[in-house]
Amino acid sequence: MAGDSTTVAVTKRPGQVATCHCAVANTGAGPGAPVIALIGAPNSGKSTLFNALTGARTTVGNWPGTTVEVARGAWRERTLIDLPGAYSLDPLSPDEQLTRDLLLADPDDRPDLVVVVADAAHLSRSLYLVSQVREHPQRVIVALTMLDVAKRHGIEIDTEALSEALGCPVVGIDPRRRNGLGELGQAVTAALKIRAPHRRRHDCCADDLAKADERFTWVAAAVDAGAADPGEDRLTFSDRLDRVAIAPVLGPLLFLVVMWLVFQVTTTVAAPLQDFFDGLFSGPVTDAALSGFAAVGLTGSWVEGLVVNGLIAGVGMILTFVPLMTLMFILLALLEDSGYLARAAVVTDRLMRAIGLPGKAFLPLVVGFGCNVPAISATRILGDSRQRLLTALLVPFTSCTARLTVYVLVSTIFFGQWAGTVVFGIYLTSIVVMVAVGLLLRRTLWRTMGTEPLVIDLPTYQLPTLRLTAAVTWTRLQGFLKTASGIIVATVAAVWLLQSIPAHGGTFGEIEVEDSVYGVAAQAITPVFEPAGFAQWQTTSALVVGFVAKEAVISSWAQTYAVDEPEGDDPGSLGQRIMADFAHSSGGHPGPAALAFMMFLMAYTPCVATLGAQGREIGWRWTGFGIVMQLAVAWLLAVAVFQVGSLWW
Amino acid sequence: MTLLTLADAPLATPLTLAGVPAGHALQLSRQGLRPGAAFSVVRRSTGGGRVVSIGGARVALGRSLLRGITAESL
Repeated sequence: MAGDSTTVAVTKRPGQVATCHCAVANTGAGPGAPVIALIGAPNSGKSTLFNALTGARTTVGNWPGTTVEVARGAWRERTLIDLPGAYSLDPLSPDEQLTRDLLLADPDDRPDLVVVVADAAHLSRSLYLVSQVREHPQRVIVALTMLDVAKRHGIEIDTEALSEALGCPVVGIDPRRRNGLGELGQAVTAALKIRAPHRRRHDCCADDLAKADERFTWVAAAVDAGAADPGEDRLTFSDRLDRVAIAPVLGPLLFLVVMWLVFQVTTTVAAPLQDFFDGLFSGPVTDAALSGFAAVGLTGSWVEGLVVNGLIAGVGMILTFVPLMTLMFILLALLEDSGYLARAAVVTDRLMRAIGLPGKAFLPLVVGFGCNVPAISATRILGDSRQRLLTALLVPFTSCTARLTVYVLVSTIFFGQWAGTVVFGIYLTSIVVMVAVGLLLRRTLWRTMGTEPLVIDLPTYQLPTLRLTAAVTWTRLQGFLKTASGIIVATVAAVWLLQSIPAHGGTFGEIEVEDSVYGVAAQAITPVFEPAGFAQWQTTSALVVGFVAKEAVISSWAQTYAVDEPEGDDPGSLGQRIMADFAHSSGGHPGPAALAFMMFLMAYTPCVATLGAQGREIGWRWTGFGIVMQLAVAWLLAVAVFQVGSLWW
Repeated sequence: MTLLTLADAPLATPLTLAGVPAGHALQLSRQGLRPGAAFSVVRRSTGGGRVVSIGGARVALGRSLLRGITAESL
């Protein structure tokens, strides 16, 4: 059943039409295969169904707006595309516009069949989309999810009667537990053999609201025919949990506790595992490599330097962070799958509103705490173009997990047992900085920007499933390792090359790092950081390398310190070397200097991949503006933290 | 029957939606919140908003919308 899949961004320029067959990358079951489009309201289980059918692992979460790009995969001999969630085909945001365009824009290039994923527990609202799709000459199948929840609410559904009333097949499925997928496959096969049914007549009125009324009336008749709903409005388990989760005072407190726990658990539980991997790479792996080079007579050669001091030190250091990243990804997946993140959007709505953004803007920002790249794409769930632009400019201030690795390393070195709390503090600061920058931009560039009121669906809480949590975690970890390994190998090679080229005469590969092109260039930039207390070329160069990706900061440090080891002197651990250099550069205030460094790291350009995503979403002019703004904010913040901190610490 | 704004509507009381702010009618109707719909207010939320129950779903509404939404209590 499983096939290959990919997620692609489909961006449209004015006048360009996105199509199901052409604009999306050519993956799936191959040319000529029937194209099946999955559509449905946000949070209806659409992406879970896509993953279950294709064996793919697109991002799945129990909160609205998970699919903001188009995923495409093979489902047996068919091509399946997962379109962004939409309540209707009257778009209110770019992702909904994309869904409409892919379904309807080009009559010759529409999907061969549309599967509307409908939430049985909220049938009337889910079937609105069916009423709109049925107005077009399309083959349609309704896949009913959440039947168990509907049953708990006392709703009985007669799929045959509902199918009769809707004029298309209705199949009950449970994609989370992979039930009913065979029946759905049979229904698709059968539907593809026949012509599209006659479209539903809908020429009653010109006004949008009157049209919506007509559709709701049609849906109500179908629901009456196919479902028995006792209409009781009982308090559910989710309601009881929401008594705390979104309460006026307890809600924000719970949000802070949850976030603190996430960082505390990740840093404390991961620490012993990190130590184990650190010991493994700096001990047996390095020793084995050195013995290998000795055996072939290459001791002291540049090849040994590149492999031992570059690749093993750099890649080894990144791999020590795999347990930490895994834990972080697991916890984020649990929060997403449980339904809590939609509540977090409610809790943060007022804060977001202060900077002119709706609470919904919190969702891409939360994604940014995992990785900024998908977060930039997730801004498409916002309807207003200026709100999207502002959110895309603020996303880089959310600290991604790549930056977390550096925070943990530096905090552990300088703050020991308080490392978890310090890291949590940096995350809180990043939120404060984001709000402050948002306020500043709002008061200067976008004074007239309106605010969109909060209207958000609160999904039923659910117990996260092991399979989903594991799948989402593994996908993200794979992404991290893939990016990190590629970037690390490339930057390690580039750094090694630059460290080997003499700046003022000497032999290639036989010079001190300070005298290399790398060292001299870093020393030229270093004075900029004097007021921030970390004016040392080893750290400056790591920050320059970190412009490519934050994963490379630690490897750059590890590589520089490993190469820069004075002969006959005990170099100590990487931590001791970093601590000594910070103490020296800060004039005896290593703590404030370390905090200032982390502040700079938190606020400056996250990585080139994020810049690429920004360029795609908001254009290069605004991306350039963002780079300058982030560097300015980062430097000012770092200087302020060091100058104030060093007064009494 | 009494006409109330959502800001003044009592909790856990059956209500019928009477009117919505013109600029947000389409956005609200997508959640089933359209004139004539039966709903109730479940709770107050962080930031002064409300959570309403409509067709079995729970929808959080921001504070700025509450004065513009009117409902009739039976």
